[in-house]
Amino acid sequence: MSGKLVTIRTARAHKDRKVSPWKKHRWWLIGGVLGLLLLSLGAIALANDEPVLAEAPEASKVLSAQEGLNFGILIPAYMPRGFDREAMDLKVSPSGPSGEPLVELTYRNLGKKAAIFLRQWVPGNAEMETLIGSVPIETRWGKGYLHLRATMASIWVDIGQLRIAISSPNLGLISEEQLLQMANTLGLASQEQAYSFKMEPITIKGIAPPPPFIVQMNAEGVQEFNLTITPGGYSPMRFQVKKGVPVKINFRAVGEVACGVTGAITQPGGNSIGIAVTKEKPLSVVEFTPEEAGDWPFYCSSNCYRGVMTVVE
Amino acid sequence: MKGLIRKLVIMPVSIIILSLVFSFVPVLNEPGAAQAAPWPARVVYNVYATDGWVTMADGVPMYIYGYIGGQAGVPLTYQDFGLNAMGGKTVTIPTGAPTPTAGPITTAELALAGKAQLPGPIIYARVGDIVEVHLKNLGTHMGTQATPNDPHTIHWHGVDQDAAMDGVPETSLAALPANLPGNPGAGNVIVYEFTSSFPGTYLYHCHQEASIHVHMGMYGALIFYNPRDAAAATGPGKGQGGTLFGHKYDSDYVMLLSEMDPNQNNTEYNPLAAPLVFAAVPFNVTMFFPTYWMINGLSFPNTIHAAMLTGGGAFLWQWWIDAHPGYDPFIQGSVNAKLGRGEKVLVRMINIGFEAEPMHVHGFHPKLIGMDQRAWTWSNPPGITAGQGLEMNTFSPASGQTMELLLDFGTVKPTANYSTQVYSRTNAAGAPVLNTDLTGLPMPDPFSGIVLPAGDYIAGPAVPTLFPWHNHDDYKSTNFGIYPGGQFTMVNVLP
Repeated sequence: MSGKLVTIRTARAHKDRKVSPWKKHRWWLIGGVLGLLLLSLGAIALANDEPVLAEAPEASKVLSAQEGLNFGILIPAYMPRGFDREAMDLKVSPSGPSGEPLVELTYRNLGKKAAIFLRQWVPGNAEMETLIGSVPIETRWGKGYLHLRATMASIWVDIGQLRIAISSPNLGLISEEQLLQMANTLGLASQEQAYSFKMEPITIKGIAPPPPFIVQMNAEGVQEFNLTITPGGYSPMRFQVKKGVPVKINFRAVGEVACGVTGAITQPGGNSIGIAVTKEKPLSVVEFTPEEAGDWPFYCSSNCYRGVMTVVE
Repeated sequence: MKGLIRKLVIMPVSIIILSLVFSFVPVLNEPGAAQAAPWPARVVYNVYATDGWVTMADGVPMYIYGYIGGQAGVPLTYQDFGLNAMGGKTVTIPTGAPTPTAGPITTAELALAGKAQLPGPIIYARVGDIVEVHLKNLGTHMGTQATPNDPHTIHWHGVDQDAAMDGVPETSLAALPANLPGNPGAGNVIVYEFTSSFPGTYLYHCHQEASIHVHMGMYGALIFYNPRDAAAATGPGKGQGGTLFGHKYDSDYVMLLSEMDPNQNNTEYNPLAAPLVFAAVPFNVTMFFPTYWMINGLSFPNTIHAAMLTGGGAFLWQWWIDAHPGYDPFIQGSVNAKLGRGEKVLVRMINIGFEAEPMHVHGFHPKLIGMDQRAWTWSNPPGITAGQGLEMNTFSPASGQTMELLLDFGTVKPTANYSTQVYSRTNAAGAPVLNTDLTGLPMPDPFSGIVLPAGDYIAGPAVPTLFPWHNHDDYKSTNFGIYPGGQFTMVNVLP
């Protein structure tokens, strides 16, 4: 058996001695063809990075689900490479309190076992629905929220009445910048929308909290203002006073605030100033003169509610 | 000769290597065929915090705080006990729990106000899935004027995450009662988003004034399955199997342990009320004096589906189980039915009570395969000779601990025989029973001594062997001192 194989090989070897030009240069030729193929594949890939002005592959799916909705479903023009637009899952559920629609789009990267979810709905009260643990960031649509946890990232943006949540459990395969780029390039599927795999350079910028409420002086030269504790916390939560000028706080409680009725303003490295109201004494007047500049945090008795008094020179 | 070597060595080796590569790729990456839903996915739960009533096993009504809700889009069934637990009938919302809307309570949400279930719904997903939980606080509706109307949170116990997501109001924020309209922040909706890369048993509970709210009933089970587990599609208690820490199981059960001191509940309902038993006035939790011990919110004999009571009469086991899917505490397994081997049953033990509970099981030495969402160090899967696991008959989870216990039904028999030397038994008519086999005789209710009619609690007329699984601090196997009761259930061995 083995002898036969050896014989055939020997015969071939004899044949090869007559060297033809094809045989001599075949590797160059094959290499060249392969190289050309690779180059053209690369060119196709590059061309795919550029925005294409055409209907996105999932557009027809979106448009047919569109009927009967009171808002236009948005799809991102940018999509990280490898995520299948055509095989996008679309689910409309009447999960709102009065059967309001909630649209969920799921894009998957089957090779990498990764997914990106887009959820779209009209919140009844957008300000009071909190993606807990998120930080405010700048988006093309104004203030959005970014939430990063372990391998998971989410971005919430509001476009008009519509709120869109974009999230993925696959940080590492997808970056939060890519999700932001998706959020920034959201648009209606009904138009000829550009879509691409190309991402503009993008950085995530946080939004600073609003400036503190600045306490004004009254006619007697006292910095007097109302501090209210409600189930939603202290109002104002952050306020600013001048050092060395007497402060008068009219402390009130509104609603059932449990531990919020007693609290303390803590002087950095110094004593606390107690604030407390009771059912019998609903208004408590607290007077003191801050003598140290800096942030004086204040808390309720069990640290549920917090705020900061900033003392400036 | 070279050709021979190539043919006999290289080819088979490369075939083996290639086939190994191709066989492992799907094993590592592809979800199993049984797994219908693509992975990873987003799993949305709508959960409301509110108050309500439940009935203890001895018929005493108890005021609770708790959660109600479930997976979005999945029909929601809850038990409506009404004021003072005079009811217990179920109500079903076919479209599932509504998505919470921030602000005042909507009409759809009002249906759930004052309907807290004990325990809260089981939340389950696969590792890598995003779990999204929308929490709204509907406030108290079943209390008195003096009942506190507190903020609530959900702490994801065992999921390691930073303070903001941790559900501790002192380090993040709380959901404020929606029935205090006009107050800033009232009725806010908190959206929790989290995932885990560790499969196993977790729990969740409210962390607002945890000493009160946890005790009042604000807790539930949280489970992360492996992506290929069949049970991941149904949740626990549905007879579906999976793999955990390398060990295969055929079905899984939740055993959530907790206890109640009625003085705490009474004080929250009416702070001016006199204590029911020895306690400080006003109630101080360091004088903790529990009288009810529960598994999945039930005490014996309710744990084996018997004698469900309310303040107004009896209610059906079916109502309870419809409203608490996955929480059946009556553990059942087969010795060999279809498999040709004993079923392996995974019990997910969780302790959210204030005390360590020595839970002792008769007839088995379950294997401890994991604790607190991590594989137990010495519990290697079968095939690895070193470290076959810790097999015990009494497990004492401390408060906040979880344990995964594997019961092998191949180690027990579905029959029970008395010694042939003793003919001490009589049947219901008083005639001596000569056979030594327990099988086939009606089962007297150990609670009342009455012979119970055949029902699902004894799995039909052929009574198989029942093994108690109970708290071995035996005073905790009582309902307010009456034995048997409390943390006491049965393991039912099926043929």
